[in-house]
Amino acid sequence: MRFIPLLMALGLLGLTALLWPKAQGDVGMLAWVNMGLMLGLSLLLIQYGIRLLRNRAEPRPGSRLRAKLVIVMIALLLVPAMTIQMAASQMVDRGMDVWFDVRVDTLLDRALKLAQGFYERVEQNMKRNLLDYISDATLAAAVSGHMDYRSINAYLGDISRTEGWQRVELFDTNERLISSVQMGELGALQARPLNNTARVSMHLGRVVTELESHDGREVAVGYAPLIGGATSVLGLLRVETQLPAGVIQNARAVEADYRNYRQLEHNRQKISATFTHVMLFMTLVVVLLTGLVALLFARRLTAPIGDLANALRRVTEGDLDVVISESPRDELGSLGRSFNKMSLRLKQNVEAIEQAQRDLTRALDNTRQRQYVLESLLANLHTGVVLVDGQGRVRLLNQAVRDILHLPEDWKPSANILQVSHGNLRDIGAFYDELSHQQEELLQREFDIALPEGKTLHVLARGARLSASGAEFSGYLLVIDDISELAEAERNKAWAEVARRLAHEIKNPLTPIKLSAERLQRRFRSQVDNTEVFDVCTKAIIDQVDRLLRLITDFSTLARMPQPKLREVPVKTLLQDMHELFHSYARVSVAITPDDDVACRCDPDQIRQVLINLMDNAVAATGKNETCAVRLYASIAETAVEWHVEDDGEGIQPDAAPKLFEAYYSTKVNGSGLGLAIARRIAEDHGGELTLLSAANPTHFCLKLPRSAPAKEKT
Amino acid sequence: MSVIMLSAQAPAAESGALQIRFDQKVLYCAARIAINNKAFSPTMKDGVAMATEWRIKVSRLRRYWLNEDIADITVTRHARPDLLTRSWLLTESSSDISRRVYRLQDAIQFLSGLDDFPVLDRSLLKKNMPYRITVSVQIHSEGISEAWWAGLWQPAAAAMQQDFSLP
Repeated sequence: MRFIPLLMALGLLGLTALLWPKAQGDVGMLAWVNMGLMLGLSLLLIQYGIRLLRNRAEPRPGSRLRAKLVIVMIALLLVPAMTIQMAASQMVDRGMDVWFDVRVDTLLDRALKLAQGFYERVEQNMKRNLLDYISDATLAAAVSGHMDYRSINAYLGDISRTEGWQRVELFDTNERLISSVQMGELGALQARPLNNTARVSMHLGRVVTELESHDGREVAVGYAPLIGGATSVLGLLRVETQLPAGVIQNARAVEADYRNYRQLEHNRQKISATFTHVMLFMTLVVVLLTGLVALLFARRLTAPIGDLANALRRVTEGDLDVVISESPRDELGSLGRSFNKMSLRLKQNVEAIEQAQRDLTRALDNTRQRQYVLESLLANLHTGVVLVDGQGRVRLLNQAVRDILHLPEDWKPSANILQVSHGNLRDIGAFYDELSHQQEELLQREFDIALPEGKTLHVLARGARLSASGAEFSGYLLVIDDISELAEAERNKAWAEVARRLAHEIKNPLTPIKLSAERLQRRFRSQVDNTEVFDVCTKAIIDQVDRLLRLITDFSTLARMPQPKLREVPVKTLLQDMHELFHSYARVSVAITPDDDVACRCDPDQIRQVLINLMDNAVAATGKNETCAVRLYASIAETAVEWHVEDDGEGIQPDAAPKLFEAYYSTKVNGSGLGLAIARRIAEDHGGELTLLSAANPTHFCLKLPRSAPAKEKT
Repeated sequence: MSVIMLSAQAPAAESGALQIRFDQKVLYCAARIAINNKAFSPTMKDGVAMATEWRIKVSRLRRYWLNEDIADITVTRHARPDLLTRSWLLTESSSDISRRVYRLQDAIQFLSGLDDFPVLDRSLLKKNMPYRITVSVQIHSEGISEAWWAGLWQPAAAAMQQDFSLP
């Protein structure tokens, strides 16, 4: 396909070389125009062929089809055109052979010879007749001046009538007209001068004839020298005779036909070449026009195909906005419309897919966001959460449940909750088992779990079955809360309420009892015989009533612990107060070390009560041994102030140490068991803590309070 | 009267011969094309009219520019046959003088040469300046076409040139 233009150019160049005009040929401009056209066409084909060969890339869509259409249309035209031209050339050659047949040639030759014979006969007759007058004595006398003019004219008139010449003129050797006779018309006033032929005749002394044309007529003119003596020329006789018009006309017609025939024969090759070049020119023009029309038609035909191919390429590259023209109302137009519909649907589908992708991405983002929020929530949640699927495998558990239950390492996602719930976690497995087998959706249980440190954890477990409609996941959600402190607080609250009511019920009769005992002592002491026993009894009543009142006061205090009134209190001031209260004991030493500007935000009365309680206990523990010491000192940290109370007493029994801060637990005979409980309650109300650092050697209590006010918990 | 004869063969030797001649006032040229009588005689015997168109150009040679044309003369010689009388009427366009000859050789001689043709006045030429005279001949049969394009592709039958300068 790529070599077709070059092959066509080669053929055209060969034809150009074959028809190249020869140097001696006279073929005219048309041949050179044809050569120019063929060379131009060859150059165009060569250029197109070279471009096709060089262009190894994919050609533009539709260009090949266009080239094929043009080539086919030109070939379809060239075949009949060349055939017609060859046939026409043959016909012209045959026609010219017939035209220039030898019989025609012979016929024209004979006709011309007949015409020439007529002229020859006229001239020969005139020459023969003139020869009779060369030596005419009368004429010789006339030119010699021996005759008068009238006699000469008469003689010349006789000659004219005798020979049939229309004009007879007599000249002397000086070319002077002597006499002239003209038949049938008036003579010219002025004689015509002698021409060269006449001079030649006179010079050579020979009779000469010639033909002349005058006013459309042809005349035969004869010149006869008049010879006198031996060789001397005395004058010249010029005669004219008009040729017959009809004969002359036919003779000239024969001459013209002969000339035209010979002219055509002479130009025979030229005519043939001209015909060939005319046909070639017409063929070339038609080929060029056909090529141009074919190109336009092919371009019009292939343009929609090219547009379609371009559009397909753009669609392949992802451009779905391409729309092609639908103007032609034919199959190509239908194809374009179908393509546009396809492109539109493709675009709609792609947009739908993109929209779905965006929705999915948004949903995924939302899911991820929710998962992130959920994970963050679960991570920051103080409530333990365990998510278990329908097969009992742990799907999710947060850090809080690990911290609350101190879960071992085998508690991890995908672990079976029943298998990992062993030991102290057996209740968790039992709770799940009950939840999974019950009919209700929710389950709530409280149970105690023994921790490895010996502590007992009281947890609230709540479970729910997850089987929401439409959700693929089904399982169970376990929520574990450490409610140990809450239970203790509720227990304390219950105890406080009991204490408050008990104190109220007890306190009411005690005052009258005390007052009655004191009244008995005042009024009836003198009346009794044994005052000693009476005093002992009344005193015992009063003391026990006082003891009961103190006990009830402590109960009331525990039950109605006032909110601390916090303010900035110098640590040094509290230490000085303690020093003033206990300086009477020699074994008590109070280290007043902090500077004045070191302060603690607390309720000074309540803190003072705690310190007094601790110091009282220490003094009591060291009361029997004067060598023991009680030490009170404070240490200042960046965020807290610590009061340390140490004593070198007997110490606290190990089994009593864990219960030391419980209410109503006392190692003393008369103790209410509420002192340290109240002290710890006050410390906790201040955001601090009261701890036993050492049970013995020394017995060491530490009250730790924050230096700044604790943030109030919003409840 | 001094007569200067300059004779030079044309560059194309087979084209013809060119001679120039000066007298005191006029530059003459004599040219004859070296064409075989066969180029004329068959055509003329068949009664076809023939003509030769002589173009004579005189130009001043310039080294770095186109030559300057001094004279450009065209002379046409016709030979019209008369088959009935077996004669040829010879006509020269420059003088419009005609004569009849009865020999083919005379007609061919008339068509194929210029004898002492006056070209230009000598006063138009300067001494010691190089000049070139160029004579080209076109042979026409069946008369001369008057169309403007007729001479575009008509090749010259002969072309002669000669450089000269006035002494």
